[in-house]
Amino acid sequence: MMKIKNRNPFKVPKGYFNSLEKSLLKKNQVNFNAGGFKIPKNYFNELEKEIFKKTIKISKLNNSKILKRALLTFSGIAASIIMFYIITNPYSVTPKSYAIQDKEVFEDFIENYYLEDFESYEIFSMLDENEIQATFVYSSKP
Amino acid sequence: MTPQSLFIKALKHPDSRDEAFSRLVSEYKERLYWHIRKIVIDHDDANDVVQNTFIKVHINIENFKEKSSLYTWMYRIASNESLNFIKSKASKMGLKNQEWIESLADGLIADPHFDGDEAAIILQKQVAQLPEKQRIVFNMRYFDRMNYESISEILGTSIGALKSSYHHAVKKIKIRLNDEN
Repeated sequence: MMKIKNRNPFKVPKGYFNSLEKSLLKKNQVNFNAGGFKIPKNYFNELEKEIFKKTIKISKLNNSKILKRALLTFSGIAASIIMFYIITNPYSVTPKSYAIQDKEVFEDFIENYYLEDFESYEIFSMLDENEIQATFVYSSKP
Repeated sequence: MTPQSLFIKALKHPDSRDEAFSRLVSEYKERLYWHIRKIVIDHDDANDVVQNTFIKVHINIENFKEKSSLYTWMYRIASNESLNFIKSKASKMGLKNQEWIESLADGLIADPHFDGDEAAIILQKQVAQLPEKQRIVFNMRYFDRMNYESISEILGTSIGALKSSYHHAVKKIKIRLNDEN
């Protein structure tokens, strides 16, 4: 008898109590704007649009921030790899640059050597008439 | 997985976020707006706060741990945003929060977005005189007919404290209304 008394024989459908509140609210038709407050016509549609506009802007801003951050990280890594390479191999870059510098110095020397003792009239004396003409007559057309 | 967990997953996933967020906005925009409106009173202010609320939801959805329901979490954000808004607005005007709210309630009669009768204006003025938290509890219980469990989750206050707060609020309003009559 005691056992029978303590057991509840009634059952409810699964998830009944979760949906109960919602259905009761619907039946009661809770008036959220109770109290006399009003809104402009079509306000909620405009509000939705405004919210989407703002969130899209924020998403774009976040994406560009992510892109910028990725670029900065990438260039930072690249710079540090180059620095590391230069520091650990100090002679790997220099021989080539030495060779280029040597070549330039040598060509300058030859040019200066030839021009050092010449006056301008001497230079002209080495040119024929056509070459002199071409030097003085400027033509805008090639 | 519950439907809510699936929905939150959709909100967190970049591919489905926009569509899920659109559903979220259309489902909750009105409730959140009215909740905020009753706290900040002015329509333009409520418009700013409701937009900020949804933007905060959009930004922080990835950090939402599902310890409470999504609805509760959004209401909490809306409540905090509203209170912060009042604080900043009042300090800009050089007023206390309470003074700012009372001044708004006093101006309701001339507000184009208010069409309540005399009784509604008197009630709003009395509600505006309640302390901040008590006012929110009163609004949620009296106007929105929320149960104490939901209010407790949203405001992070015990049910006992809420019941007492609501009881005191009703008592104060009744006394003041009697005095006015």
